[in-house]
Amino acid sequence: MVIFVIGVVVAILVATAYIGLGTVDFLRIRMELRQTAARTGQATGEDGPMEDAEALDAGRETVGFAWRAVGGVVASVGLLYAVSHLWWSWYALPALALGTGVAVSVAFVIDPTRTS
Amino acid sequence: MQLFDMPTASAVILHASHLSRGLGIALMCGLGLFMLGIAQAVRCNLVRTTHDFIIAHRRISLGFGVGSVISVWTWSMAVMLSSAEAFTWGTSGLMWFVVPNGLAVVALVPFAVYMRKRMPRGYTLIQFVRQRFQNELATMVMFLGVAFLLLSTVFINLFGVVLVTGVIFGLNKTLVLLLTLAIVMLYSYFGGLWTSTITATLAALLVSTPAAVVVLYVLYKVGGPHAVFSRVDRLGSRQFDLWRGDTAAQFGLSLGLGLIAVTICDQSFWQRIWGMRPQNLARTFVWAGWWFYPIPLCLGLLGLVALGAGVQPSDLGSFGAGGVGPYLVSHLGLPAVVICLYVLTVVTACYSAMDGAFSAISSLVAVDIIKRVVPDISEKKLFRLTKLSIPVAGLIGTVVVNSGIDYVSLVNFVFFVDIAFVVPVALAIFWPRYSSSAFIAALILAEAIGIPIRQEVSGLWGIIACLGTSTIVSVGVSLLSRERFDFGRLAEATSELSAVDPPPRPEPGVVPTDAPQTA
Repeated sequence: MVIFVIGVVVAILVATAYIGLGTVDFLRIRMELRQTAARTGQATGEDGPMEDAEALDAGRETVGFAWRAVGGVVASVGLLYAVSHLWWSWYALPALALGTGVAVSVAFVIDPTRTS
Repeated sequence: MQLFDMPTASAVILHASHLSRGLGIALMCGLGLFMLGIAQAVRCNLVRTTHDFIIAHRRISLGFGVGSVISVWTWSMAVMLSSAEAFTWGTSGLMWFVVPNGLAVVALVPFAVYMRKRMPRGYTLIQFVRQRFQNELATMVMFLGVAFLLLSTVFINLFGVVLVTGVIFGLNKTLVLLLTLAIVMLYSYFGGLWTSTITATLAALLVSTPAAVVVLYVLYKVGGPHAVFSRVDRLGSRQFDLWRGDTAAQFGLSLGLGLIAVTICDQSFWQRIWGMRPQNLARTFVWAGWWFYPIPLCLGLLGLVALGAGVQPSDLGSFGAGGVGPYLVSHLGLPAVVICLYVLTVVTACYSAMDGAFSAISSLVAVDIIKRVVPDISEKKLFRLTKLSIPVAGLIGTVVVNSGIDYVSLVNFVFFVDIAFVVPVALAIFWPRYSSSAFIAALILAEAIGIPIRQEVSGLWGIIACLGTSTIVSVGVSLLSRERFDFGRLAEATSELSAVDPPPRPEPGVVPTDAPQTA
């Protein structure tokens, strides 16, 4: 029961951070679009800066991608191996499911394209 | 109070929790109303034109990108199938289900990055094929493959909601189908890709977090993971044998190969690829793939709990192993709020996947149908027709699922057909010598050979035949030709929905000197 209660508390904290950071990001995007519309005088039909796509170094962006893909496979197989042999490792799976919410929250914060 | 629950000698007692039908309908409608509120807020603040509607200004941030990709890929059936495969095959079933699912998302990285580099102003995969090959047959074939896959996404997720609400609340199938379609069509209609992205990001939270809470409570209720582990272990060593060969042969290999095809041909992903900030592409798909894994892994534990609780396949009725998660949750004597959290997880997964499909369909309609047929259509009419495509797609879905046809088999068939597209699409993106004749020949021959083998021999051999044929024909026919496509032409193509006039089309019968020779 203690584990469950800890899980609920963590879930509430994760959800709060997630929704809060998502709202902040939404408002930032809205402000960005309004600034663009005010600058160009157009309706909000303008794309984000296209020079970003043109400057994209496809080779550099995909460096190490295969290792990351393999890493995900190894990690998930490793977890399942643990689940198949160690009963206490079963708690890792709900913890990681909560981690999904943490990961998205972190993504809101570390977005390298944020201008504000 | 103990930190870890210790095993008890008593067996798990299963009895049905009789939850009212009204509660089920309230859950579905309540979630729908919540999503509709979000959609309205998005529409009022972010959407003015067709371009905003179908490509979100190409400004989807990292957070919304990761959240929405996770959510679009977490289908309602994926939520329940992870439990089903664990119930049927033990941990090896969970491995063969989960690992290819996550890998399929990460594997999109090179496709996404190179496509965005080569065609920065794109909207749809069909548009890419049209500009790449300048061939109407190739375009039509690609359109059919993508469109049927999107409709199949709608069907299979509807099946998931029918399953969970049927098992837990006893809701009528037709009522659930119509209610789900109406709810998702309504909020998809407002806001397009922005709505889809933001509601899907919320859905990622509503799927992952409740899943963790539900599984933790279930483990507590049955005496803790040690108790379940011991009970399952006593059933035989195969339940915890990760490397059992029959799992791979029976479904693992064919599912793994099939999933790669689904992501590559899924316009829901391509729409986000073109809707994101380019610098975020690689990181988005890596993170989304990695953080997708925990959701089905966590819910897969329910299948192992069901094994330990002595649930038999015969207990699951006509729903089969797919119903093991809902059955367990509704028969353990859990508090109603925990059961509702589980239902919320499945229904949210369904809504977000369907919403993603509807948004993707609207992009196909705008760019690949309306703008092709009526290039000079006014922005107002284009916007109206684009939005109208969503209820039309929903109507098609309604007709099909109510027609009585076995739409699960139909979906499996469409997934198989799309496997033939994997190699041709990949080569079209990466290999300048890949020709339109090779593309068309590869697809036709792959289906002509693969489908009969699937029918007469097995699904796995059918997939191998399909992939092998498409690869051999693609490479062979291309090497016979001297065509070489200049990918720079894709970058020069003007955004079809921008305010800027498109470049003048060539006069009929006049072939530009640098154009590839078409079949």
